[in-house]
Amino acid sequence: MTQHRWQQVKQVFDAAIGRSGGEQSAYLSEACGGDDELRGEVERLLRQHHKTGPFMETARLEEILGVPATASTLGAPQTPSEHLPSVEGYRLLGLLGRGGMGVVYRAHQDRLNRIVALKLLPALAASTSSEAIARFRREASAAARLHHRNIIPIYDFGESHQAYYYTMELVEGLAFNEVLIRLAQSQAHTASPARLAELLRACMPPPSSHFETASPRSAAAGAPAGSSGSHQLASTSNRGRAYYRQTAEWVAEAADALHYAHGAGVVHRDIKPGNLILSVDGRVMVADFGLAQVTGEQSVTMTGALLGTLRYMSPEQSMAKRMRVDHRTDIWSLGAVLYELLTYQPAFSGLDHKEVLGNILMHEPTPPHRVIPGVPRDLETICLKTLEKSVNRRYESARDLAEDLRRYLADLPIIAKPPGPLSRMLKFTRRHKTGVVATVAGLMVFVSIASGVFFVRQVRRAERHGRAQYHIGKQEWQAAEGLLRAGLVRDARDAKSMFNLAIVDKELYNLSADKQDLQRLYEADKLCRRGREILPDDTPGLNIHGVVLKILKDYSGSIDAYTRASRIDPGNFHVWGNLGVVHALQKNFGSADGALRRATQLAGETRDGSLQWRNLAALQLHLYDSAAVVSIDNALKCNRDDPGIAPVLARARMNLGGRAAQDREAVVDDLKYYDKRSAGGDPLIKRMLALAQLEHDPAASLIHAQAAADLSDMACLNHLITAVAHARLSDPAAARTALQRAADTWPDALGSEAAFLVTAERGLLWFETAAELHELRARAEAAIGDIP
Amino acid sequence: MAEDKDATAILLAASQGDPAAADALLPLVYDELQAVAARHLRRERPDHTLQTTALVHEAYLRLIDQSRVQWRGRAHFLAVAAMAMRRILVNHAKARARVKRGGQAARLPLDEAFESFQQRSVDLEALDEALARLSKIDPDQGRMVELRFFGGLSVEETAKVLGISPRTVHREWDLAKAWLRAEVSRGDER
Repeated sequence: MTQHRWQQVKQVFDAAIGRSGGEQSAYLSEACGGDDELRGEVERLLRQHHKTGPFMETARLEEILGVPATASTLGAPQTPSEHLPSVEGYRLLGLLGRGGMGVVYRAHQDRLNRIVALKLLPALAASTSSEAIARFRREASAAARLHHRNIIPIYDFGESHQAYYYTMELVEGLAFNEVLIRLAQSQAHTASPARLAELLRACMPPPSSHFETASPRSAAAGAPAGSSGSHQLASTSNRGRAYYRQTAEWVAEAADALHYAHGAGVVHRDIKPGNLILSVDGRVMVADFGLAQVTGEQSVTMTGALLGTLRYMSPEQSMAKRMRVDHRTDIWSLGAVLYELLTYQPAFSGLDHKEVLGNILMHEPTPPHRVIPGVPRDLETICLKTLEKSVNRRYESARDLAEDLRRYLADLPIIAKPPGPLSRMLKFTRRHKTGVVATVAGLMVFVSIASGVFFVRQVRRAERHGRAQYHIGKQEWQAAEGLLRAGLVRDARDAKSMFNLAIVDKELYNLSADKQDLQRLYEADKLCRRGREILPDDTPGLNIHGVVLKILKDYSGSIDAYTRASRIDPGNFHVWGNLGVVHALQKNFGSADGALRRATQLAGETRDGSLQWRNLAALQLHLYDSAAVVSIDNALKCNRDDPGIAPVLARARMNLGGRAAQDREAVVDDLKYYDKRSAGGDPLIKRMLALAQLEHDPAASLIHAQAAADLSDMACLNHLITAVAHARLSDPAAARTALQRAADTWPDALGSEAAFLVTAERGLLWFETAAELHELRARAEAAIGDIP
Repeated sequence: MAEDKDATAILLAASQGDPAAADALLPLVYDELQAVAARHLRRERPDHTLQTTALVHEAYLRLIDQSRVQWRGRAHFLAVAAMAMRRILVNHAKARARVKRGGQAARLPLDEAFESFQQRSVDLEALDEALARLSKIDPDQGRMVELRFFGGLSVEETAKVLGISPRTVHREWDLAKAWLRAEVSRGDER
């Protein structure tokens, strides 16, 4: 058929298909005229169209194929032996399985004439540092020294054709990811002990003669009845409880193995169902000890490929860039496995890696009993304790976990406590929108430093009562200035008045229309220096001097003043907080972290602690430290209505949260809530509002970007947001203009892609990364390109 | 892992019109789809039906760094994936036919079930050949069938990938199906 002919057929067919019977026939006569061939073809097609019976209706594989597809016929074919990779010293006999981290083969070790499992890791990326390789070797040899009844022994490791491999005992059994599927299918939690034993027996692979190293007890020997605890399995007649006892026993065994390994200095880092094997003799055996390191590092940045593994990552691991990961990461991951055993569903899931990580970092798992009613309360409590976001709230050691599980098995009271309402994570502010309005919040930051000044007490009182809206304006400060100067005239060596005057100067500078005139600050600096000569150890004096020097960008002078203050008054959290901020401005993040931690410890959950926690959270977010979540939680506990928290909260949610609509709405909700509470409007909040709505409501985004710009927010960023929004609203001209403005105002300090900017407006620490600007620019350009 | 980066980079190049990149992408996607399918088939419950859509989407998640790829790149990926899926399924059908012809003792698992299913399902080899003929007459329609049937894409997705309206997809799909059905069943009619 020619293409021309086909177009004719198409036309007539399309028109005829909607008509019926005689009408159709009349239409065909008219449309085809005397072209019988055309008419014949269309009629043939119409006949086919009206045929009943399915044809190409399905996207189901087995129906397309006509038979249920099987793994061996579709997908990975049985690898013919000539295609097996060669590894020196071994003869590879067949494929046992594939995982995210390598392929496992059954292999014959020539020298020792034994059958082993050989795992070939993916070829290392060229970028893998020699240090990482050295660490892999160290880890592997440490792991090879582990001997424990619940650990699959590692025999050997080496390198072959640029790929690392290691060999281990070939254990006959089934990995828990498979076990879990079967347990879920048969609703094992309702099974009687006998039925459960039968279920587990059915899970096991048939005994195979060619596995020479297989355990002498083969599957035929009976139910997995492994170690001590599982004997109770047979003795309890309590239908349904058998499964939970079995679960506790399994996890306790795995915890034993972990505790032993941790004692030997080996952290597993990749505990997941696929790495826990239920052997035919009923033992839980942990595989792949300590080997997650090299490949794991690459995998964190990988997309999608490791969804399965990601689900079991601890929060600290999920943010692994600069976060220290210790043995407690394994406790978390084992807890995630326990959760899945209790509920047959992962504790944390998501459609892509970002969502999974977001859930791990930001969400509490649904309490198991709400997934499956009847999950024993104690087991649930133990499980949730292992899944605490903060390492400090988890079990100290895997042994503690194992012991608590055995307490449960022995019907003794467990140590773990059910989580109280406060320790349930990040139940964000929307629940508590009570109407306390603190217009003085911004000023309080400063005011609380200067506890010596007379009106501070007034302000504080007002603030404490929470009702009065107390506003200190220029006039009030000028009145104070008059009083203080008069005082200095009476006593020229009144250091306190000098410090107070410095405070007034700094405040009037803050209120000045343009902050270009530094005269006030120079005077404040002079006053502080004179005051310090007279009263060198006055904490409020040192504090205001630190503030002034910070604004003048004399960071080392500022650090000096704060450090001195912190020695004189080590219990003063304002001092530590300020010290932390200046360290951060100097990009000494280690010292900043230390000082801010100190400040938060001292401040605790007091109302004034809010700023300290908030600043710590901002720093942690910048450092990809998952503890940011905890800090935000604490800041909210201190003061739910402090608008200062809003940008940090929003950034945490946007960076860590999923893409789900409800997350986006939560971000916007929170921001709007705080936007209303920030006196005079906070440019940062407006900008975050613009960013959060950019994707789904460009018109609203535009309005907020404009509002932020009006409050003299970083111009470049707003131009970029404006550009993206215009492009999304299909206005390429306006988008290009905004893009050009962004280029004109691009901050010098953010030239290179890795650069970032630290600011501390009103003592609120904030980080801007060049990456964000670059990303927005790329988005704007792409969006302009997408306009038809 | 280096591979994953490659797939994204190749996709970006391919969606910017580099034909060599498009050729390079196909084997990567082919392998990944096979791996994904095999993994699913190994672990899925027997009563669970596996959808080509799910396979294609999972391959996308696994291969591509989504943060770097815009919709256009995604559309391109889906087109390549549908092509790969077609090859996988047709190869599978051919392999099975070979085994049957050879009459070897090593029958593939569940081949017994084949007979009862046969009437319901498509002869994939014949369909593949018919589709090749259709693509010669109407390349766009050929691509649409590949996306809809082999890639398992919805009408909306197919429309987006091809840059046509869902209505057009509906219309063309009816015709293509009728034509293919006629071609595949030609032997029966005579």
